[in-house]
Amino acid sequence: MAKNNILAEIKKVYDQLDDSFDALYAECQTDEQKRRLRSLFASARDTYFAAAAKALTDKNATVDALTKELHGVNDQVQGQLADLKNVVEVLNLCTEAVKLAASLATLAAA
Amino acid sequence: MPPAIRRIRTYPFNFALRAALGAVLAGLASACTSANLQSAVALGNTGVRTATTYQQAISALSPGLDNFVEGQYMLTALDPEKYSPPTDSLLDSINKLQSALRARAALLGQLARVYSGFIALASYDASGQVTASLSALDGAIDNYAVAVGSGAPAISPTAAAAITGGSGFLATEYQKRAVLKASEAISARLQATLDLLNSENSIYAGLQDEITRGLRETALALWRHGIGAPDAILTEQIGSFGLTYSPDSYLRACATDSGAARAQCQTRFNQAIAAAIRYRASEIATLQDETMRANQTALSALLAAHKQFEKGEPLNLAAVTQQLALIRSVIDQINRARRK
Repeated sequence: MAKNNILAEIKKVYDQLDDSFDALYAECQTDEQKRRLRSLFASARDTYFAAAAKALTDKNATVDALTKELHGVNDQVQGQLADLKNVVEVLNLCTEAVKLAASLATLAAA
Repeated sequence: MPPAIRRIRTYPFNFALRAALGAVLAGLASACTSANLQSAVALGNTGVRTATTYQQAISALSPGLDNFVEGQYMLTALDPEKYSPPTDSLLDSINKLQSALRARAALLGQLARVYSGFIALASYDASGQVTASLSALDGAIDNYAVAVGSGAPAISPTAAAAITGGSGFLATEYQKRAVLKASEAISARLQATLDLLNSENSIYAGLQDEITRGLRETALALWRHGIGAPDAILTEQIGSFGLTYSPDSYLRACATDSGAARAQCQTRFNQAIAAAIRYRASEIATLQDETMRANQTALSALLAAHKQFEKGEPLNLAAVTQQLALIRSVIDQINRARRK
């Protein structure tokens, strides 16, 4: 059974105990039975939250790795923007040089 | 000396410059990229909204878990036959859940930051920067011509336009390639993020459901013990046709009856208020579930939009924006259900 299905089953046990608690309580003949029912309900609650926490923390390493990767992508994108600005600067310089060369040629011919 | 000349003396058109230009041109030698920068900006903006909306949905679970724990304390006091106070085990689980949820929210926050960078890359006016630089150069060349006593135009308008336009084109092409590369890098991580969140979506939905159940039970227990006023619920009912609800008038419910009839009426009235609370809790649980699924669908549609963008196809962000609009509307409904 997949992990999420197991968690769903654990949740179902907790919810069913919650929903039918009053009816079950009314059926209890002794204080001990009532105490056990209350204890079962608390255990079902704690088990569900423990299972949910485990299901998420099991994937924390994946989450951390992905967050780092996205951080890397962000650096990469920032780097690309810096590169783009450098290229624009190079193009500006090249173009200035070409235009100036052309203008000097024009002036020399005048 | 005109600034342009000074700059060119500082950066002579030497081998290094030629090599740099050569590298740029070589990179652009193949066919032009079909990436559309305006589409990239739209994709980036939608990406920021999608990541932020999902982040908010996950972040909202943590305070909900705190409310759940506080509710358990109250329920233990008000209904000790059923409830037990939070155990160390429960508190430890809640801490672990909150820590894990913070990590997921941080992941989505990082995704939003990546999209902000993507927007900056796509919206940088590379071509405009080249053109702006050249317009300043024109004046410098004219000054130079005057200084050397030549009345002839330093450079023909046609040649200037060709040089400026060519440089602008190269800058834009370089930018399009950078944006395309960034989109591909984001897509790969978006797929992994989508897979992860998809595998955990039922866990978030389950937690949300338990938080809402806990809040409902706490509200009902408080109401049964005479704490809380149903004024907001009654105001909605009575205000529909012009009547005004007077604060605390629920305390006079069944006042027209007497004796056993009055007690029965009050019991039924209290049960009706409890039923209304249960109905609202159920409505909120359904809406919250819908929000989580819409977030997942929006992220999935965002990934599909990246693929369209990378193939040079027209970008269709309608699927994402529809889901984001749905989430907004559902959140409004949840807020209405809470304060009704």
